[in-house]
Amino acid sequence: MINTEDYAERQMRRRGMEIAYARILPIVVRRITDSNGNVLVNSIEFDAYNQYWYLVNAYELPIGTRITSDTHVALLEIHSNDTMEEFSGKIKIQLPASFTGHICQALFYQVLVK
Amino acid sequence: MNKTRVIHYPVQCIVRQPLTPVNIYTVLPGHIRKVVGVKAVHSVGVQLMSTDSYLPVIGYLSLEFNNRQYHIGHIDVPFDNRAEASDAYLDTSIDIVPGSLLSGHYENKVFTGTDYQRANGTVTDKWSNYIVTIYLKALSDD
Repeated sequence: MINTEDYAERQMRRRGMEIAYARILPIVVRRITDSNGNVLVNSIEFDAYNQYWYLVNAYELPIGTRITSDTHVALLEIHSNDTMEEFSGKIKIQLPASFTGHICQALFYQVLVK
Repeated sequence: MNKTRVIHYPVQCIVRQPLTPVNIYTVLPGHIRKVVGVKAVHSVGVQLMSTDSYLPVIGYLSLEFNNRQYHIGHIDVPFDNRAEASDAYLDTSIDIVPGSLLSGHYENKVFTGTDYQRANGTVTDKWSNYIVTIYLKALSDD
């Protein structure tokens, strides 16, 4: 398993950037349906401009989850914790149609640079 | 003495699945000094899935230069099989760190329905892999 903190630190150093602040941040995605079972909401969208977000718990998210950002798009096709995905800009987390639960939590390592 | 000249450097990405984004990770040759234009064109494949000769957007391309330090933004990639198709470059002025990484992704936006990809993730006979080529108009020392 990759050490997220080390990985982010190395990435920033290679780009000549210095980390000003970093933390683990949970993002909750809700799946809301109407009384007939039609899905009203199964995604969340938020801004992360001038920040770098690393997905920490890819292995806990449903297969088929799609995370889109200005700089990267990831479609989770297998459960793995051996890769590190970086997102920046406007981020959207879209749960797959096959997900039938009500709530899902994505964990990110949020990095702000000086 | 080195003489700078203009080159057109191609980077190809092959779209094999309608819903799977294609990641681009390539190191630009050390002789490229500056990128002065970018264009992304469909090369081959989409004509096997559509009878239209023009689709304004078949996907989005995001590109980052200089080891992910410079994000150029997003480029709409059209499918244009017409004689009058534009081959203009998008003007840029990006100084390139020699031997740096060019990264990004291409996201397909067409033919994404169940006619093209089954629920188990395999593609149907209607789907055809296609190629998008990114051309970098660059100043080279080579």
